[in-house]
Amino acid sequence: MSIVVRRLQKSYGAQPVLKSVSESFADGQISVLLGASGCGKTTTLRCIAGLERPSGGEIVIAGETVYQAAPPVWVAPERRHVSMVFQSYAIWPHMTVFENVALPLRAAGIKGERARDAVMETLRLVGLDTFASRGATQLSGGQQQRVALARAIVSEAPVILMDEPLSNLDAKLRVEMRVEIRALQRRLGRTILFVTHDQEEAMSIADTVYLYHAGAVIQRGAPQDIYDHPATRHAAEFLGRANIIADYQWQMSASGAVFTLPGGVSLPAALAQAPRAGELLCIRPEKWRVREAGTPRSIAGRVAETSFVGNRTEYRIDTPFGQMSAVQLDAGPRRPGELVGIEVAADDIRVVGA
Amino acid sequence: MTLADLPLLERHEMQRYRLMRRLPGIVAVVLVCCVVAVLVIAPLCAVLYRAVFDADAVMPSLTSRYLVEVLGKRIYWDALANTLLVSGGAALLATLLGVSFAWIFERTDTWMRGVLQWISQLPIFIPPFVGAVAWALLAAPRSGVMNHLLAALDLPGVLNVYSRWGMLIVIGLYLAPYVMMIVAAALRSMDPSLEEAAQVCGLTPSQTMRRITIPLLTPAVLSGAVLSFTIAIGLFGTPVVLGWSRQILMLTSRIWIGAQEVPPNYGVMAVLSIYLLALSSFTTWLQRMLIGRRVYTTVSGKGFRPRVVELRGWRWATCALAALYVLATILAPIAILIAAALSRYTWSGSYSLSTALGYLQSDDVWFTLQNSVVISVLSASIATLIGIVIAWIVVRTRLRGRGVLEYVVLLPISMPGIAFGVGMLLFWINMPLSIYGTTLIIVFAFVGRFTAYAVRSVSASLIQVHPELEESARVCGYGPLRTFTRITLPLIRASVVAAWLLLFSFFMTELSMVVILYTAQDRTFSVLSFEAWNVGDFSRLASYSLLQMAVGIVFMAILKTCFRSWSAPRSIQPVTPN
Repeated sequence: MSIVVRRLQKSYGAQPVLKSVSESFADGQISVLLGASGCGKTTTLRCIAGLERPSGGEIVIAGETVYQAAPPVWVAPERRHVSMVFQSYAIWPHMTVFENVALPLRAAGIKGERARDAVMETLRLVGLDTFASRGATQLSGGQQQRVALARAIVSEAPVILMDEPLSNLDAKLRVEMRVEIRALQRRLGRTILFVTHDQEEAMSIADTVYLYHAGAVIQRGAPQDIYDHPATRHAAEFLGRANIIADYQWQMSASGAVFTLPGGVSLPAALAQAPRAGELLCIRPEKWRVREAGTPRSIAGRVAETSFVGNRTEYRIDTPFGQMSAVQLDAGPRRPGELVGIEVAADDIRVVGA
Repeated sequence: MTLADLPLLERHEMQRYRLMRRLPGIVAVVLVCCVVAVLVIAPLCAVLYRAVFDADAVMPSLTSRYLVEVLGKRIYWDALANTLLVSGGAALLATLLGVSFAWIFERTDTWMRGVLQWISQLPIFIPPFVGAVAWALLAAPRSGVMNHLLAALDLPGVLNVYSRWGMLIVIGLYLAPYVMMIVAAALRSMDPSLEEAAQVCGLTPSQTMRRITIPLLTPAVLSGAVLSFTIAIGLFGTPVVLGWSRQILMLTSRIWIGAQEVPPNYGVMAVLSIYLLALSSFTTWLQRMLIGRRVYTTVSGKGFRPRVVELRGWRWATCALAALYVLATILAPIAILIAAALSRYTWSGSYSLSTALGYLQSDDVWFTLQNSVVISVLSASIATLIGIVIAWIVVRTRLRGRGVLEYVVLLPISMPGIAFGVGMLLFWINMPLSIYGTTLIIVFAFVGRFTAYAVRSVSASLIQVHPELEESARVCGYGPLRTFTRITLPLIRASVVAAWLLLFSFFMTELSMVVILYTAQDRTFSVLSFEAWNVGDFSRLASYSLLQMAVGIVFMAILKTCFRSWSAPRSIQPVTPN
């Protein structure tokens, strides 16, 4: 079931948290709302769940308007037929695992054998069927997370909202749960809205990423698209790392543009259209290739810092147009002070908004 | 279907329906505000009004008569001086004892410290009036048992509890547990790494104590001292029992005397109540000024294992000190009360159980006891209920004015009970709707003065309940009411039961408000005891006191066992790493 928000606004006092967000979140997909803390992503989710009352706009879940500013419409959270996984898991400590998972069914008036079977089936799905009679507080963090997940899928609500569900897990478990949630979604085909501030988590789990900044969505798209074609400097720097060059001149040529950088460096780029005023050049660190000094058509630079991190080597390289980050998978580490030549392919250069 | 799709008429219907659904909430809030206004604000205003208005005249007019009377008479200045001296001294003693015991129990390897710590909290549950009566029996100048003992052992000197010193010591002894509990909690929650860091930085243990531990404890010690001072100035039973024979009267005693006059001197009572209110407000203000911004958030919710000081040989000495305290506040008083209850008349030398039982067989005893239980159960239930509602409004809603509501309802907590009782009396005495002279006015006074305790207890545990626990129930399909009854209430019920029990035990022994508000028809059991003291019948009084404590204990025990099954301490917070 798709979710549509139109001109969604929310402010606390004079402080706007959401500035008119209009998005539609596709049916049967994982939509990830990504952004730094305070950017409005959780507020969007809580408005959809009905836990916050927006200041304006409209929310439609599966064709039903659940909130509208004027004429006023308000559907209480318990009648929106969504389920939610909370950051703290919100496992009720006075109930057993079974009772926790059974509650959405009980609320819907489903009782007896049918409820029991559904709960056990769901617990089996998340691998907790042997824990059914356990007190909820006797579980580890990872198990609590699974209970929260089971509770979200047991009611067969078509929409599952997840508010930073993995942020309280340790790194290893977090990666495992990503894969599990992904697999679960494929199997059940629910619509999932997933809030996170972790860009790696976002890219690995999302069908579509909605990148938030200061109360607005600044870019949306498949993870690969956003990574390869960031719209702004912020998008480029939030999703992965980026070398940004602000000081340049350009000339259009038949094959694209040729940029002239400080120090007389010229850099050909395959661009369809000319950069507009104030736009910046963006080069991902892994796009730089670090070569021997004096390699033809390479830019001369000097290694300022080297760090070896196992599967790759990260460099900071001083160039006439500023310090560049570069990441190399091959080649043994070059020592700081060493002269190198760096180069980048013409179609790996991007132009982004400020 | 959206609202916009509906015809206009139906849309109106829906909006009205929505308002109807919210109506219970709105009604509850308005109701609570009215209750708070009548039970808390009205008595305070009545005191202020009566102090400066001549309400007995045909046309009430401003008057300075009562102020002049109080300021011009020596007896009232004496009462103020006595109150300040005795309460100040008692607070000092309580702080000294409380801090010492907190340190002994929390930070040393004193022998049997676990048991002793538990027992040392019990004096709180001995009504001040009963403690005073026991100490009168123990150390009255001529008849006191301890003086008999001194004489028998040919030791010089006479103990005299009927003196300022006597009052000071008895009050201080019984207030020490309050300070101890506050300071012990602070010691428990203090991160030991703060002290360890100081030692690593090169401070000796005694320097660490002086420069780190003591400054960190100051806020707790100060609030303990202020608490015991505000309790002390409002005490009625102890000062009147110990001070009456030598006419060492405190402000509370003077207020009571004003109430005994015919006609009662309401103006003077009001002015004296203002004295008490001013004193308690001033000390609370002083505490805030002294602590200021030095609120050390050493509480991180983690349980620490503080380092224990090894006392070696001294661990017996500290144990003996604590044991002596238990003897002075619990064992000796109870023993003397039992002895007094069993003797035919005070210290006749002949003891029998039938005398004690005989006292308890009068209709008066059963009537007033019944009355006390009914009043206490009713008041505790109402106060707890209002407490839950207010705590919920304050903690869980964003309602405007909730801060004011909380402030007002917590206001009476530092207020001397007798002053509050005077306010209640003055407010209702001339009302067309007459509840004065009925049990209801006592219930009103109890609820107004003590709801604060319920609010504090419930909101403290409500804060612990993560809002997401309720939100997830809403998303799972529970409405607001079911969410509250099935999720919130079960999670806070331990604190609800605790609040109820605390209030019940307060109400069963409350004297300082009741002594102002009771009439012949609605006497409570504590009034009956007070009357027995008034006629000097100490044997009868002792058996009443024992009965009162026994009823309290039995009631608590029954309730505790009933509720244990479902208020077993459980972790309220879900296990979250951060």
